[in-house]
Amino acid sequence: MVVALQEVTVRFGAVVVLRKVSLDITSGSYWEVRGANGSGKTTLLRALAGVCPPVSGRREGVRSVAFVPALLDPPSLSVGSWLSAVRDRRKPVEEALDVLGFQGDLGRSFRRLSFGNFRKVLLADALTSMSNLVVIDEAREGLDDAGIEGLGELVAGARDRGAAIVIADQGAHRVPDHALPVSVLDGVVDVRRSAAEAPVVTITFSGPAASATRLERDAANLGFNRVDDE
Amino acid sequence: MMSDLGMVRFTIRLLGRSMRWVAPAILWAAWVGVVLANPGPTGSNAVATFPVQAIVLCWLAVTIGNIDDDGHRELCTATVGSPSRLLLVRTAAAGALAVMASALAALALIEFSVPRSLSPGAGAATFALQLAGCVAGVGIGSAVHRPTIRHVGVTLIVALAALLVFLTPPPVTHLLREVDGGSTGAAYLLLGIASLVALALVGSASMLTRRFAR
Repeated sequence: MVVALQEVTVRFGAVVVLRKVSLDITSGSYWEVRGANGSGKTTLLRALAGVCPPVSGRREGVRSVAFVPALLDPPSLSVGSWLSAVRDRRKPVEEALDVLGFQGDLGRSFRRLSFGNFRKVLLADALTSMSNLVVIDEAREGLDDAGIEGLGELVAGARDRGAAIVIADQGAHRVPDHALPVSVLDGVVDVRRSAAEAPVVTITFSGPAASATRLERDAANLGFNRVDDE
Repeated sequence: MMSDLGMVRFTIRLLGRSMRWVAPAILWAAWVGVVLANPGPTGSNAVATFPVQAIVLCWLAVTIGNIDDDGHRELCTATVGSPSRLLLVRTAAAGALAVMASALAALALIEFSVPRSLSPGAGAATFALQLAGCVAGVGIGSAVHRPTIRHVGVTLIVALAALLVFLTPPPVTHLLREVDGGSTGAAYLLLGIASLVALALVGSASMLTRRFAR
């Protein structure tokens, strides 16, 4: 076990964002978190990263997490300065940046990098870190084709050395075969233990009750089962 | 993964590059300059610069705590392990500045004191008094910056109130008068009180950040 959430509830004021979430992330596993805007994906990632203290439940596991938030203001330091001051391991990050197709000068300030190149530095830094858990929010955000291709390569490399990877990505249209999808719906997490399980197709509609009943009957005739939400 | 020491180093480097240290440094230099323009015995000089040490280090501790946006803070939090640990790391960074500011002030005060005869014990007491001011400032500043208090305006009001509460009550002013009169023991006693106050404040802030999500 790299990290585990046990009955974790996260609340911001009166709003409950995660409700009694339990997850067990094992070494070398790869997870994609999916869900609608505002469903709690980012909060789930923050809870896994240890950034967001739960109001109840527990987080157990690794202390230090390589976390890439979706949004952050670039620091005023140069990339090289960050790598030498913070990481003490510049070479692996430089190699990872090559894989991601980084186009920039490491001597320049983060603020002078393009958004895509800034994200590439964060990703390279996280995916080559010594942490056993890498958590990335909006992984493909700002990346070009070379970056997306390189990201897959770096994720595979990190998993090979035993790191667990958790990614949320609104731009992902297909969950890879090896991924364990986690769905977040209004703060409740649904974990599918095996990617081989049949997918659940969720249809949301609004309209008069009569239409809903008719649609339900048609769906039943086609062999679909109804899954009731709260 | 990065050590806590690496994060302290990074935080100080980030502060240096941000240039947000300039305003408190000017205040510090102006205040010390005014004291040294009309210097007296070392003890009197040290008492005169005691408040500015607290104010400037409180300012720097708040600046260090608020130096980044939420996203960058989260990245740093995940790296060191938890919000409370990040608060402690950033307090340590402010503490490193406190030792530097105390040493610098003590050296200047000793160098320009009139008369210039000074025992090693009095020199150490001068440093201890400057450090007492700095430690109190770091404690107050570290307890009122983000994420404990999100709004800078509220931070400013609470920090000013806390500084007043620390600097003006009779026990502190009495001890300062003792130092002014040549007592070295009072300087160490003040350092002890300031350290306890700082520990209590930082400990409480650490508990708060451990408990409440932002």
